[in-house]
Amino acid sequence: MMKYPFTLIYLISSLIIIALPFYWWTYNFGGLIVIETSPFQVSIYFLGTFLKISYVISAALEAFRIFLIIAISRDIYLFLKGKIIRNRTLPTLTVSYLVYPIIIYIVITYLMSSHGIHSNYSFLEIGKELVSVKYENANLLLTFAFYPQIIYWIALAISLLFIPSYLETRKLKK
Amino acid sequence: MDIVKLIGAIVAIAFFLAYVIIADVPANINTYVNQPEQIANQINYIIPKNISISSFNIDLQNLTRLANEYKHISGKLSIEVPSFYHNLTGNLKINMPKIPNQITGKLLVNLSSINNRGVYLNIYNDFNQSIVIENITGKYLFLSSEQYFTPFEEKEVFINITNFTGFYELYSEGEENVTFRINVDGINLSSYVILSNGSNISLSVPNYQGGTVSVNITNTFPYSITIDNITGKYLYLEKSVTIGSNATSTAMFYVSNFTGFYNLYNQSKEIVNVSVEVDGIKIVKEELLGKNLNISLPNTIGGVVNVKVYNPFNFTIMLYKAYGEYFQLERAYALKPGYSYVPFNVTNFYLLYNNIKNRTENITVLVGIGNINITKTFPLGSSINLTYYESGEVSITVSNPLNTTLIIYNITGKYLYLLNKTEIRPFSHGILRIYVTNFTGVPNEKITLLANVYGENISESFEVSNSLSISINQVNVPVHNPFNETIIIYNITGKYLYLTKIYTIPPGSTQLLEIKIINESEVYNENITIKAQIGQTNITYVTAL
Repeated sequence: MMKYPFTLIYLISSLIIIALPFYWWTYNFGGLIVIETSPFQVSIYFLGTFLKISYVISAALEAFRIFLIIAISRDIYLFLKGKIIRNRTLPTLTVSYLVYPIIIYIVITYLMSSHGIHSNYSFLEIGKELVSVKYENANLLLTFAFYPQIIYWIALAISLLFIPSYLETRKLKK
Repeated sequence: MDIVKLIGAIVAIAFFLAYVIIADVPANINTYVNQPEQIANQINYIIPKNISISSFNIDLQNLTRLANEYKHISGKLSIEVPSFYHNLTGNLKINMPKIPNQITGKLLVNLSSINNRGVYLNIYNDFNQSIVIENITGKYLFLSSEQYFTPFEEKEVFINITNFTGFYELYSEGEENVTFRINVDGINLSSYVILSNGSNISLSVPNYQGGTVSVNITNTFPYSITIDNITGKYLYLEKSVTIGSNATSTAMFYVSNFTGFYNLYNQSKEIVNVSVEVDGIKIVKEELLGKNLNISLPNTIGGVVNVKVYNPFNFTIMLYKAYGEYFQLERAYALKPGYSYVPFNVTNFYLLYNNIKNRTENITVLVGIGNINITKTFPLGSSINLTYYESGEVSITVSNPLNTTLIIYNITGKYLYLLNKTEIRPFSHGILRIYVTNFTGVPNEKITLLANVYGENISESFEVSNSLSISINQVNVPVHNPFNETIIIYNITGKYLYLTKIYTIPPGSTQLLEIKIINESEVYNENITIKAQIGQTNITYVTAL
């Protein structure tokens, strides 16, 4: 088994990352709405108040976490038995987070135009943006802040181990 | 799909379903959906509503009017202090017990035996004092040495015989006449007796003895007196004695010489130094002691004195208060023009008299002339003068129409100031006591008001014209922060109003926002702009009032 160290490290690290109960990203809309999220849990705050719907969504995501823990444990077991394993779960999850700001942009732009809200919001992938919003009699000046937590960067780094893992197992197939 | 993944999927679905059942998700589905909307609706709380304008007035118009009226009026108020008894004449009745000034007694003389050399006499001294028998002489008898007898002593005395035959002859015939020469207290007495078996000599001598005598003293003064000392030529008081008013106490005197004392006492010529204490005042006097010790003592009791007061004006004025250290006007009096008599309560005539004599008694009067109360303090002499209205206290009624306590710390100007901090409870009236140092200076004066409303200190400056009124328009609007984020309200502005300062409202709490109104009538027609911050979001909101 020690012939495939990348695969071994990759699989075990993936299991650990999935099991750890940390949020990966925070989306802060001027403090009015704050979303803390990972693929396995989510907390939504609206004007400082925790939204109860977060529990229901989190329950579904936690179920997904349980499923993944069982599935990866099985892969590790088979890998240790000598079977070749290629698990794409972690790369899929981490890379998809890079796409979410695009979805957020589309949703916000749609909601604003449908409600007649004027805003200078332009697409934000990561970092801060000062957004001014005008709606009827109110002018709002919000700071949008989208930023990942350290755990996300670790998860992304582990995801990159999939490439050497893939290469070393491909050699064997030949 | 292999069996392990299938089991994993089943476990995951079971976990989720378990949560759905335990948390009763279907029943709470409305909560989940409506919660964001409810939170969003709470934003209405932070918009100030129900702005009602209140104001209060401090109307100092009276002050200006009074100042104009009274600057032409002047007068002289005089208070004449009548003479009153600062001393009381009375006496101490001294009931001297009868002490014998003569002592009478007997010498009992018995002839006990005779021989050819002399005679033995048994002599008994019946006196309660010592005597000296200096000599006993007869035709044929003489005493060889003086004999000293203590009171009630009995002893044998031997008398020499010069011629026994001659003596016996006279004795037998009962004609032996014997002279006794006796000395009592330095006084020589002689007495004769026919010598026989039983004879006695009656003697009467002055009482030069001394001793303690208890004397009843009656105090006729209307207060209690402590006699510390009475000392004369032949007597002194052994210890001080306190005698209540019209009461009798027993004083212990030591009399050094009864006869000497009686001689002077009966002629009322015994001069004594008397030291008495009356209400803490010590008096030492020289007096003649007789059956009555006539004495003049301080009048430390109080009483009522009618005082003549002159009102110089042609209208009635009020004398609210007049007092000094030892006197006080009983109640307020309305003084008609001219002279009136008003009763004063004096607490201690003697101390009042002393103060007047030493020019240390001041009189403080509180006089009401119209709406002006004038307080003045003068030294009290035979009369006191109150002149002019150049200064005085003015009471002004102020109403507080606000639902909060109005605290007026001070009102100051060049010629006036507030006498004491005044708190006026919500929806009630209060009286401002203003002291004016110069009425003629009041019109056109600049006045500064320091007050506190709604917990905020305010300071306003005003020019006093003929009509002086102070009004402050202030709105206090409660704003509640229902969110878990701190709200900062930077400003609420309009053409006719403004927020006095920046307010930070912590999550879940309410604060009163103090808004000042510049123009009451216009304020309801305008739009206001609220600048606030919720979390990191700045909000500018424009709304109509």
